[in-house]
Amino acid sequence: MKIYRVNLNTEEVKTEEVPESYAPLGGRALTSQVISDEVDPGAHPLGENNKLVFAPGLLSGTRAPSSGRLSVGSISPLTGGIKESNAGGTAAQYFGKLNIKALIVEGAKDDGKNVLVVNKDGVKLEKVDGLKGLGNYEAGDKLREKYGKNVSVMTIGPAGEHKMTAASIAVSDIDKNPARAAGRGGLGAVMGSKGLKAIVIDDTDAPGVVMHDEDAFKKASKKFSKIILDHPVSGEALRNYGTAVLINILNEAGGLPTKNFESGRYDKADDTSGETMVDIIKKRGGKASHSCHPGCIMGCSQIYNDEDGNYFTAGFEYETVWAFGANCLINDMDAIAYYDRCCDDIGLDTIETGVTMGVAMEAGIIEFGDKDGVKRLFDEEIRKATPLGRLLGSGSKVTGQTYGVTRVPEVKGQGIPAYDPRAVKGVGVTYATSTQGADHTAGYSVTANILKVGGEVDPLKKEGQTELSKNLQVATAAIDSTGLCLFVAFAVLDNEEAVPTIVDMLNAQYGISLTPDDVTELGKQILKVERNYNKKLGFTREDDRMPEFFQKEKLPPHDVTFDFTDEELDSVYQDLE
Amino acid sequence: MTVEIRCHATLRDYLPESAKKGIYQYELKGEKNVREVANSLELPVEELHLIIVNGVQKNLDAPIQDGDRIGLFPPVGGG
Ligand code: SF4
Repeated sequence: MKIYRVNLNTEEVKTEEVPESYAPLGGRALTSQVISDEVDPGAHPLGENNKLVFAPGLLSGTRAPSSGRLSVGSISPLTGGIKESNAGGTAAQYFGKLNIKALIVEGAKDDGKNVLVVNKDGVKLEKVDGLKGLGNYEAGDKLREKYGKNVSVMTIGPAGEHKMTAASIAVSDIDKNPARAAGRGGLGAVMGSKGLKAIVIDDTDAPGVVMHDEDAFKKASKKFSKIILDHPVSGEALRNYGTAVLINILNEAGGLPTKNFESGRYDKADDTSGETMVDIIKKRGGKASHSCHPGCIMGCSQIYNDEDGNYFTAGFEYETVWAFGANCLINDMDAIAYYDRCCDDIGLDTIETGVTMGVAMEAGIIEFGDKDGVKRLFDEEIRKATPLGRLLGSGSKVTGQTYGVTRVPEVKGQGIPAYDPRAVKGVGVTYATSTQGADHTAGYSVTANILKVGGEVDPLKKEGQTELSKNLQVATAAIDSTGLCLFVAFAVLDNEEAVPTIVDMLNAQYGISLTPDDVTELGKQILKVERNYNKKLGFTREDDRMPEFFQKEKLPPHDVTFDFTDEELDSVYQDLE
Repeated sequence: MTVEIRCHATLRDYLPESAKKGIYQYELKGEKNVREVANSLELPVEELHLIIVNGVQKNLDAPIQDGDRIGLFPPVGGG
């Protein structure tokens, strides 16, 4: 395997051997380690000394089910902390097949013509005219025209080019749509600051992953597929309704943040539910189940067509539907699909942008429920990068600050996702303490709090939550390093054979002898690296706190507050520093 | 004595036609708990993975009262 290093200032591309200490690392473990080892904590996130690291997971490119997740690491311009942003789509499998351990992008140059072309011969920097300013859909089409229809494409849209701190990096999916993204943390702005518009990956004649023991790997991956398919959530439910099935559940449980986190229930929730989405999709000839990369057997994604039955958007997630739906009091699925497509095309994180719209409504820029207003903000302001557009594209915290809003749902500058931390307390602990800023995937306590997966912990009480969040944060960091989609966790948490089977796959592929304990250790190691690096960036325990209004305002219908003490929150990372 | 039954995902198919969007006002006929209501409605009891009564997770034996809101879900997930 090789590490490729590109410097946009000198326009040099270097090929490096993988240092021994990096050999057991992949995905998040590797991106966070490289950032910690190589980036001076004084580096401005959008300056030439910050780096952008792309790494496929350890299993990416193999036949292991749902193993095509990509990690992108950097210092986040949104949180100011270390960031691993995780994306689906086809890129990670291609990297794996090309035996690329990591691609490290350095320097900064305002160019907009830079395209990295990755193929069996290595990595080349090319200048491509006519891409600047294009949305991700058009940019992808142009690049496929030039480099072949089967290449995987990663691009930034206007938001990234304008260095808006909610900007994402789009990754093309199985159907070549830019509907997958390294969304969180504004890494699109980092890519924009480097003057890099796109990365094109061509896996033609790729050597393929080197397997130490092909038979043992086959056996283990087959077993792992069965474990996933035997679980009712990962084997069936995700495929039936997509992630938006959660809308009604969180609404019933009183934890669906509504009207910028004013209530835990939305009376029109069902208009935006997974059930309603699937009805619409079926009526219009879309696809209720779709995989974001070849080899995903869970297929939580979907294709959403317009009224005329033409493709409109894909990967229409619970988080997105919630952020623009209940959070903004908008109960129109087509309107929300329009915003989803805008985010994919302009290159914005859907969660951050939806949370920001809620804050914009709280600020009175537009009214709650004003769906035409949101459309106008996308079309006339953000896409055109007007001053207001840039402000909104900079996320919830900056928008709230600029307008003097006190109710801004964010931690470490990153907008809070679709579970109210007062009524789903376990995930609240994760929001507060994660190295990533408010991030539900960093320790998805919703499993035991709401879904009765991996045990049961009362979502309305504090008992057991810090422990739960900590264990899930450790496990997640490890899973994020394998390239497996985090949704395998539903099966992993309920089936004790799952982790040993993942270990079997890793051992068979790399010819090593890991134990399940080593996997836990890896998870802890990653969190320590991230935590300690954040400290160097200036973060303290005081940053692991929830905004005041969650502690003071009672959330209906349960009338609960976020009531953890500082000591309780601090206990999560007490032995992870 | 009525309870509001809210069936979601695949469970919606088990409610009478009149139950729009999975919401059904059910007149109790002496049922004392969720299990008895589910049986009366011929819901597949083994698929009732999440039982949320008035916003709180319960089990099949949870007692019910007039005006309760009962959300029922098969195993589902997302994120
Ligand atoms: S479960 Fe969904 S997000 Fe995960 S790999 Fe499959 S399609 Fe992509």
